[in-house]
Amino acid sequence: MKTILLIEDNLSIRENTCELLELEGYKVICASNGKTGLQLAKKELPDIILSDVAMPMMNGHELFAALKKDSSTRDIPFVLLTSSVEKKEIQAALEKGVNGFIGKPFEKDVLFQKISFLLLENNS
Amino acid sequence: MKSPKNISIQKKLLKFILMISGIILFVTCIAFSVCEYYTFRSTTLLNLSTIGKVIAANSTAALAFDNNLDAEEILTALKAESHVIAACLYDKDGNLFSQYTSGSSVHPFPEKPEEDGYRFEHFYVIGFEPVILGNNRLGTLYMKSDLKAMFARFKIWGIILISVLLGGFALAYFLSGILQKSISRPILALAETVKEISNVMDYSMRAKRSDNDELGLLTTAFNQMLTQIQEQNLEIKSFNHMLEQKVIERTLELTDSLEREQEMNEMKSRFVSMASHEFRTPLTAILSSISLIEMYGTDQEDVKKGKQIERIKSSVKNLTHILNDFLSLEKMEHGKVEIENEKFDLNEFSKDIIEELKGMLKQGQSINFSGGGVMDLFQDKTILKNVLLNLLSNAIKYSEVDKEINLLASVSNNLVSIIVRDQGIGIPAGEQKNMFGKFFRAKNVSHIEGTGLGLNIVKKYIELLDGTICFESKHKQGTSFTVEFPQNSKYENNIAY
Repeated sequence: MKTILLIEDNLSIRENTCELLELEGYKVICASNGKTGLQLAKKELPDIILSDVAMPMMNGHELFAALKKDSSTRDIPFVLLTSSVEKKEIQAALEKGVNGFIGKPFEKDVLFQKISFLLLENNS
Repeated sequence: MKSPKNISIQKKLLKFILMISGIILFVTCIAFSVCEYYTFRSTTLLNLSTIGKVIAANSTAALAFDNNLDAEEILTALKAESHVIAACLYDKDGNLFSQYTSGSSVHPFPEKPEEDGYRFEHFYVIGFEPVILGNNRLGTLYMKSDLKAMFARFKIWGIILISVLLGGFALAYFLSGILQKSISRPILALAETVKEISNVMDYSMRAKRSDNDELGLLTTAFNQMLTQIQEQNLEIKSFNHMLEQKVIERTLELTDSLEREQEMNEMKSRFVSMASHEFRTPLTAILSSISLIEMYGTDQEDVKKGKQIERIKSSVKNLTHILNDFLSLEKMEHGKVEIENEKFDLNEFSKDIIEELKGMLKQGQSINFSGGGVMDLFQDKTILKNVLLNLLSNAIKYSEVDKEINLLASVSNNLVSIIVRDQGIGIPAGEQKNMFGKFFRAKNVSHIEGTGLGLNIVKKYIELLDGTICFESKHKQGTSFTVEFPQNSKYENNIAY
């Protein structure tokens, strides 16, 4: 069973997304901010990380940079859940190596497809 | 030497007067001289012919009787006429009969008498006069006269002429010197004034008017021109001033509208980023809840579905709240808010609001109210409620768990003072001045949901109540908002804004 680390500060979105992914058959670990998310990522070494951008303590971009610094977490696929529609911001993050973007609000199928695609790509 | 163009008007006038008077004097003298010359000539001829006729008449007897001695005596009488230098008598055959010469001078006599009559010959006058007795011609008298008398007269005449010329010239010079001043003085004065005006550029100066002649008119016209220039200068100056003023005004207007436009643009981008985040978050929650309900299927428990439906409701409420904020703002900006004043007790009112907010409190948070006795207000309850709800929910939102929030209310001198104090995250000093701006959100709350409209609306509401709002805040230590407004609204009721 693949493990997903979900980092999101909004309680409803966090719980709902977590439940959706569990129903799809994944093991989900949740964190409410970037800092906890980083600790959990190092500890649990999930197969994929989904993260919100605007969060207290450490935002999505900072978290990604921190993950890239650590050899154990460097290769974990990283997807940003973002409210931003700024193309520049998306472009800049993709150039830094973020594996994917999912714009809010998102359809569950888009979320599932993105995750299964990235997991498959990472395995091969 | 100066060319006539460079000579001063004074000298020019003098020169012209002298020239004219000189010419007139000269022409007059010439005319008189010519006239005198001819008069003298004819007088000389007449004189000589008169003498000739007398001598001829006297000589008839001597010639008739061929008496040489008598003839000589008669001719000698010519001594009395000093200008007659020689004379002789011819007999009827034309032979020299008798002769006379004055002094020792030797004068040749013509061999034969010539044609009768008197004439000028070189510097002498000569004349032949017939000597007649009855119808018989006895002989001819010859006389030669010099012109010494004429020349002597001419000499005197010349001296008088030159004296008159010189005297006239001197008189003309003297008189013109006096007379030309009456013309040149006002011109020079005018020229001096013009020079001074153009040097100092002072158009308030005036030339002095002397007489009532053309120069006086010129001076008056010049002064009038100066007045006009002065007026025009004033006009130009005031026009320039007006233009400058206008330019400044326009620049200000442009700067203003540019600033407004920049503000609008900034507001727009703030609105877009706010809307993007604030709408997407509840929408994401709603969509994920719906997705879950879809996935639950028919056999799932109603409790789970119920929870999702509650979440959807809460998100919709959140969205509605944002929309309401927009609407309030729109209403206030277009002056469509109606004030409905009523009497109420601030103590009770505050406690109701605290009760209403209980559901929002984070773990361990509490709102402590402290009021002072009876506080009866006559104000718009809805507006005041919105203000307090806004300030208190901010205090809750921006404070950590277990933090206390204080609501202090007091009335003194008809002025209500309400303080909302929290121990929250505070507002960074650099951003405090922007707190009441539309869509403004401090950097330290970017991860916390919010539209950036709350305080803007609160400020506008407080202004509707004729009140003021201010705050003190320390980053990471807490914020304290103070609202002050009259205890009794000055508006009777239902006044539209």
